[in-house]
Amino acid sequence: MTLGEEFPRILEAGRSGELWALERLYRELAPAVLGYLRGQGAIEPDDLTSEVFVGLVRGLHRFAGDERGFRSWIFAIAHRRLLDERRRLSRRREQPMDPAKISQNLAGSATGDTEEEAMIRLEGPGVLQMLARLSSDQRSVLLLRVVADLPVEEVARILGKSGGAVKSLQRRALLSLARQNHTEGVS
Amino acid sequence: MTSHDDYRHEVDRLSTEQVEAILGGRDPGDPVAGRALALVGEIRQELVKELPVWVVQRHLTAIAGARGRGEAAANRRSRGSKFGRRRLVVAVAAALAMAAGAAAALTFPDRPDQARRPVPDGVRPSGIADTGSPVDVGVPKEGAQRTRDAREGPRSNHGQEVSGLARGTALQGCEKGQAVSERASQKANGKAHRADSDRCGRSDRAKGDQRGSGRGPRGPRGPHGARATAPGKQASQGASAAHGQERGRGSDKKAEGAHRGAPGP
Repeated sequence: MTLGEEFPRILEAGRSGELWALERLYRELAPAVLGYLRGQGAIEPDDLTSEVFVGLVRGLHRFAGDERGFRSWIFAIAHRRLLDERRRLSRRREQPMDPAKISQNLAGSATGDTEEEAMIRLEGPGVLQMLARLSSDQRSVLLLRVVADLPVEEVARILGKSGGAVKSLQRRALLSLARQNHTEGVS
Repeated sequence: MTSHDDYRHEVDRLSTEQVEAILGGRDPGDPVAGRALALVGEIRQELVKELPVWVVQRHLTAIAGARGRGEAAANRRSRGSKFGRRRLVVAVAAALAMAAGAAAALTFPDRPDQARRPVPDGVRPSGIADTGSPVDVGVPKEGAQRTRDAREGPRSNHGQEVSGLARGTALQGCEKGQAVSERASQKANGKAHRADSDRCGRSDRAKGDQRGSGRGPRGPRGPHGARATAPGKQASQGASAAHGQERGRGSDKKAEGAHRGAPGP
């Protein structure tokens, strides 16, 4: 977070609809928001990121707080958008898919769980595959702590859990990552 | 001990501060936690990247559109609040009009047969044409009205009583006028009119002098508070006070007859 002392001025300008201020906020937060959504296995993380910032612009006049609170607020929006997408997909089983993978999907990878299927489709290096193997709560806690750089209290508030539960989940997530890393290293 | 147990033991022995340092990307100061720190760093490096330019342009376009829509929505809300106030005023006025209409509907008869009132022995006045209106306007006969007055009491039709007294021939002169005045003012004052007997006595005395006859003492009050004295012609036939008293009582009966048997107050 590099806005620092400029944050109040930028926030006020953003509330007034100044495009330069909104762009500054976007450039500061968009990479982390997009990373969080990708790490969560969002279907269209780019589009979802756009929705998050559109919601930010519309609700900016309601926000009151400092820079840390602002960061927590926008990741709370991102988390809600992610849950909305999963809920929508669970009602309407339409997911974009590479035609080359249709046969593979028909072979039996469909589990009936939208989140699980999204995580299975995660591609990239081994770290994302390792994230996909974490439980939903562990992954959310780890991503909010590592990617969003939020403290335990803010993560607990966004996820609706206690601080102790968040600490326990992050410890288990680290254990799971270390175990997967060791297993892949051995194999 | 398996390798999994080794790593579990490795993570379990990390303190809370060391876990916080690992998640924050800082060196926990423990070489054992180095692998966990490397994993966290790899996650951050993989996920937090600069966005492609075309993606940034698309997002900024969406943000600018949302800002414009937000301003338009704010303007709509501002206009909407004015229209909302107008709608509220119109709604209140409509509610008041409906309440007034409902009150009128409950107060006034809504059917013609409810508006029609029976006219007891009434005769339609010749000056009013029969327009077929559901509301009958009728003036009862004098006798019928008096009969009803006698049945309902003196307060049933005060004007008829005063009119009857004025048209009657039982009293004459000042006493008649006084009786009419008393009767007329009885309803307004709620009590019997205080008769000025001296004034009437003076005038009648003058008349009596002209007729060459005196007057006896006044008789008792009539049923409506009017002093029912004998007419001047009858009073002239007897000059004694006893006769005057008798005539006073007799004129009481006449007065009662003039009021068609109306009961006293």
